[in-house]
Formats: sequence, structure tokens, C-alpha cells
Amino acid sequence: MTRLLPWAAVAAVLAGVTVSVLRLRGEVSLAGPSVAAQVLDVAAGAALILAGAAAGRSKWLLPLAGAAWLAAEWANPAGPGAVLFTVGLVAFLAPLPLVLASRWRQPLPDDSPAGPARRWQRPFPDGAPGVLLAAAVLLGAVAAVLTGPLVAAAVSPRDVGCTDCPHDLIAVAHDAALGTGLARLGGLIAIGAALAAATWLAVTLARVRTQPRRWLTSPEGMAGIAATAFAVAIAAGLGVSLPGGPASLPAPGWHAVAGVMLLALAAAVTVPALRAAHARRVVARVAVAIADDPRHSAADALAAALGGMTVSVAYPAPDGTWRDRHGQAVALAGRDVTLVTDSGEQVAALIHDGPARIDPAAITEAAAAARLLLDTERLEAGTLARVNDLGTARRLAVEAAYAARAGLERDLHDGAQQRLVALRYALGLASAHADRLPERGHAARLAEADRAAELALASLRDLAHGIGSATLATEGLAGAVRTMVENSPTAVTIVDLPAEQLPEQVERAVYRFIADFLAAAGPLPAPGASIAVRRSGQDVVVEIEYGRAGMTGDPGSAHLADRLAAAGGQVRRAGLGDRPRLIARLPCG
Amino acid sequence: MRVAIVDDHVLLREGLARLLAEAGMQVVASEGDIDGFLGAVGASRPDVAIIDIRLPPTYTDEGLRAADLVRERHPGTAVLVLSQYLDAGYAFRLLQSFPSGVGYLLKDRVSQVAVLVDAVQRIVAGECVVDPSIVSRLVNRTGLTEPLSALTPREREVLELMAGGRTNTAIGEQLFLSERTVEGNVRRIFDKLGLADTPQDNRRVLAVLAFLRA
Repeated sequence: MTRLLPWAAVAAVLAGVTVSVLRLRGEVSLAGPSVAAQVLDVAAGAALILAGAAAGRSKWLLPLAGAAWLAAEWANPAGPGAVLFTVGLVAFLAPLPLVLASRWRQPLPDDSPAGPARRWQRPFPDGAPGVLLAAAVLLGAVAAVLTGPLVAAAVSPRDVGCTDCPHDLIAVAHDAALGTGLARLGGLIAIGAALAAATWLAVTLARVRTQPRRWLTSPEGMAGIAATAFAVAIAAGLGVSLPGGPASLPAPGWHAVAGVMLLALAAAVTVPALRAAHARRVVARVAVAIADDPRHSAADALAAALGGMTVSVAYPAPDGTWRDRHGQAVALAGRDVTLVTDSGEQVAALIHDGPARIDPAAITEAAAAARLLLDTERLEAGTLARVNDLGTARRLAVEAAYAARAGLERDLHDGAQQRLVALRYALGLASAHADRLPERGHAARLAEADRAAELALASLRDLAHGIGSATLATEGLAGAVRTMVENSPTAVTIVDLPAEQLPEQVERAVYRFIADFLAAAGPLPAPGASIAVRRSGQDVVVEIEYGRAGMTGDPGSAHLADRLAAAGGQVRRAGLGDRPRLIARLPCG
Repeated sequence: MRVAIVDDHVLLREGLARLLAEAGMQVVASEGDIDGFLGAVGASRPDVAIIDIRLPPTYTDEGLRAADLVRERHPGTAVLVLSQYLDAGYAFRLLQSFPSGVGYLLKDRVSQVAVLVDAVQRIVAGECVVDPSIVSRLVNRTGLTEPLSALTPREREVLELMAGGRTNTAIGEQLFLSERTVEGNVRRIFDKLGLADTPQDNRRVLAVLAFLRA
């Protein structure tokens, strides 16, 4: 704001001079004798200087227009000297082309965070609007030159009866008729400028007819309307006074309207500047939030910047869903969401409590400032989404494998095993009968058949046991592991087993982990091998110590790790050397 | 001897009934589900109830719970649980609830009429019976822990028979030893394992099983 101070000083000096002029002979003010109209008159000029300066770019146009607007009042018979009086005569219609020219582009603030690169992004109005605006500016400039310096050169007010007027320093011709003619011509051309400006506005409105209301209520639209209305009011004031005297003073009523329009214009060009300032503050807060803690999430940084509003951020994943930064799916439907886009591409979605009271421009600027963070999180979210999906797929695959195993075990048990048992019952019955027969050969042959059936049953039982974990459901993890170890040909000591029941998924994973280890360990005795399953905080830790010498397989094989990973766990080797160990850790919460 | 059977496989029910008939026993009830079986046992009060461990509806341990119910409601009925699983845990659970007049055998163990008759007679007499395969696996595990490896082969044989539910007399008969010798062996086993001796009590089966599983 300090950069506006020189401008404020200029505005104050010019306004002060004007006020002092008006205090001398207010009744001959362009604004008419009304004090209120004069106050409005001075305020409009000063406001235009400040607004033009605040808006930043093309900063000379509007302040110059404001200064000229004020200076026109100095052509007062009570004017403070010939110099200012002459300046006032010259500046008479200067605001008209300057104000219209300021509409050539809505100026962007120089120091917008959007950066100077965007300065030229807004195109010059092309086609009809461009031609019309150029014509309006040109006609306005011609009118200003005619009614200002040329009239002042043609005739001094002193020549036409204003005896107490200061000297017109540039009067050369002292030809009253020439002055009147020039003033009338200028007035007509000013009317042409106003018509061109009005047509420009109409054509521009037609151009933006898809969203005319939005354009009209935008700062740019407001400024365009104000500038055009200003031109029309000036022209109307001149037109009304055309048939009148050579002083060709505009009607005070229209001058007041023009003043109001200048105030409106000042307000319209200030709004974007204020927005930009707000956006700068937001960006600064984002920067501070990120600098405070580099591990800040984008949501935290944006929340801090947007005034403590609770914000969560979702990112578009490659598969078309929205994910949070941990890759979890997020539903946007039915929530208050502000989309952050960059060059038409959706970068992120800010999800907030209640409707946004955030200026969209501020969000855009804040998102631009946090862009690096947002991009990082978006990439992470996409990767994590894929990881999560893979994890789900793996878990489902392992679940399906478990279900298939259980089904297979059930089928073996209810099918082949039962039929073999029935066969043994039949053989037992037959051999009981055979025992009563005189020939002994039958009994021996039946015993042989029974022995074969018994072996078949035994190997089937071992097979079913290796496949399924029927005991897990009835005996829990501790009992099932104990039974498994008892039935295993590998010599293993059980050091520790949890007494309490663990989640089913965890119990199954631990059970299969140990089963896989026993299968890999093979039938050779491995002295000193031991198994311990313990709770450790929120986790379950399985520690298997094995004598390497006795191992036939690789106990740390990949599918072992895979099965654990499906339950969210991991396995590592430890103590390689004399006491090799496998340590598996599973979350159990 | 009056026997009631429950097994959801009709083939096995029939086969077992015929074996029992061959052994001279009378099958008074043959059911496919627990409710019908419990009703039949209540009505006919058999000497022995033979129960398949895996029964509907969940096919997990319904048989064990049915065994408990029968022992609880009809103390005069001995219970023999038949299983496909070489699972000391199930045997242990069964004995823990009622350490006498119960047996846990592999399903096909009873296909030999002599074995069937022996098991039924023993549990009706109030002893308990644990399948020899289970006990043998426990005792002959590789990499045995300290106290077990200190047993002599003879003591290990005695331990195995003891864990299977045999009385000292039966052990002596089987190993051709005098009852006094068996008693001496049992005492030394208990000393070496650090167990409190409870001779002639079915609870010693439980104690030995608990020790073997620890």
C-alpha cells in the first residue's frame, strides 16, 4: 500500500488546488453551484487518480484522466493565476479519451502472483469491438484537442466578456467566432465518440452473449459500462449546451452524472486490485505454512491460507476416481467442493465444510502457490491408489486361495476319506467272518487289503491336514499350531503362543506362515529350531529360529512373504550365521 | 451291550452298526444329527454312545460338545468320539471335561472288531482311551525335550500305554511285565518328568497328555 502514497499526495495536492479554486467562486464550477455536486466532482477526480494507481498497469491513463478532470475546474474566473487557468482550459475534455482508452484492456496488477508472463495474455479487443473502441478513443481525443487547446488558442475568455478571468496564456487568434466553431465541432465529435463507445459496449455485450450477465457484473464489465456512461454523459452535457453560448459549458446535471460514472469506474478498477492483494496475502500464508513445516500436506497449507477453513484435498487418479493423498477413494458427490484447475486441467478438488466463502481467484492463486505440493501429492495419491488396488487384489487372491483350500479339505474329508473308512469297516467285517472260516488264507489276504486301505487313509489324512486348517476354527491359533507341530516330522520347540484370540485373518496368516516354514524345513531334524508367536503392541510377531544345517528348503521363500504381505505384514531374516531367524510382523489392530 | 451311533454319513453309520452287531452288541439308535441322537440316547439309555466329531451344522467340533452333553446328562453312558484328525488337542479337550468313561479314536481304528470291542469295554468300565497313533506321535516326536529323552525305551513304552488310557494291569499284560514292575516304571517316569503321581486314576492320562503337549 505504501507504493500508493506518492499518488495519494498528488491526488491530495490536485484536489486541494481544486477545492481552493471552488471556494473562491464555486458558483461558476462546471458542477454547478451545488456544494454537494462540487464535492462529488472533486472526489471523482481524486478517486480516479488513486484507483488508476492501485490498478497498476496503464497507470498513467486513469490518474491523468482524474487530474484532467480536476484541472478542468481551474478554468475558473477566480482561478489562481494564468498558468493554472490555462491548464484548466486545455484539460477541458481530456478525461474523455483517457477514460475510454483505459478500457482498451482491463489492466492487470503488475505484481500479480500470476506474474508478468500473463500481462499480455489478455488479447487486444479484435474485430468490431476493437475498431469501435479505437474510433471512440480517437474521436474523443480529437474532441478533447478541439475543445481544449485549440479553443484556448483561438479565443481567450477575456475576449468574450470574462473580464475578471486570468489570462489565457496560449490565446493567439482572439477570434470568438473561431472559438465557438471549434467548440461546436468538438462537441459534435465528442457526441460521435460517445456513440462509438456505446456501440462498442453493445457489440462487446453481443460478443459475450453466452454469459452477458456475468460479464456485466464482472469488474471489467462494470468498468466498461461506467466508461461508456461517462462518455455519454459528457456528450449529452455538451449536446445540451451546443446551441448555447461560446463558453460551451456543459450542463451541470450531466457533469454530475459523469462524475458519478468516474466514481463507479474507480470502484470497478479497484476491485481486481483488492482481489489481487488478497490473493497475495493467501499465497504468502501458503508459503509460510509450507516453510514452517516442509512435511505439511497441501490441505493443511491451503487450510491455513484460506483462513482456518477445514479443507481436505482430493486428486484425480488416472482411473477417473478421486483419491486422497493416501490413495484412498474419496466421494465428491453431495459435498461442497471447489475444483482447482490449471489450463483447463483438473489439478485437485478442495472439499470444505459448508459453501465456500472463498474468493475463487484466491483459491486459484493459493493453488498456484501450493502447486508443487499439490502435484507431489497428486502423484503420490495416484501411486498409492494403484498400490492399494494391488493390495486389495492380492488380499482377495489370498482369500480366494484360503477358501479354495478349505473347500478342497472339506471335499477330501467328506468324500474320499469317508469312503475309505467305510471300506475299512467292510474289510473289518469281512475279516471277522473270515476268522470263522476253516481256510486261513482269506483272513491274511483281507488283512493285506485292509493294510493298503489304512495306508491310503493315512496319506489322505496327512494331505488333508497339509491343505486345510480345520483345527484353526475349533482350537484357535495356539491349539492349531501345537497340533501342527505335533504332527510335523520337523522337530520344533514351541516357545510362546498367544493365549487370546486374534483376528481371523491374522490367525490364518500366522498359521500358514508356520505351516509353510515346516513344509520348507523338511523332514530332517533341525536341532534347536523354535517357534514363538507374541503380541507386540498393535502387532503380532512370529519369530522362527532354525538350525540352518537341517534345512532342505528355503524357509524365507517369496510366497511366504507374499502371503504375509496380503495380511499387511512383512518378513525379514535376522541373525544370519549361527542362529538364523525369520521374523514376521503383522498388524493386529 | 447297548450302543447308540451318530454320524451324518449313512454309509459309515451302517458299516459301524454291522461291525457292532458282529461284535455282539445291540445298536439301539443310529442317527444323522445331534438333536435326534440326544433324544434317542435319552429314550434308550445305551451303555455306549459313539459320536462322529464332525457333525452338522458347522462340521467343526459339534461331536465334542455332544459328547459333553451325553456325559453330563447320562453319567451311565460311556462316550466314544471318532475322528479323522490325529489331533491331541481334541482328545485333550474331551478328557478335560470328563476324564473317565470316554474315548477318542481315529475313525477307521474301530474297523477291527477286536479293537472296537476292547475300546468299548474299557470305557464302559470307566477307563479312558486315547488313540495310540496320537500318543505315539507325541511321545516319539523328533527333537524331544530334556525330561522325555531321559526315559529308557521301556519307560517310554509304558508312558505311551499310560497316555493311551491303559491301567497298570493292562500295561503289564501287554508288555508281559508284573504289575509291580509296571508300578515301578510309572513311579520313575513321574519322577523324571516331575509330575505328581496319581496312580490308578484316569486323571493321570490327562496329566501325561498335558505334559506331552506342553
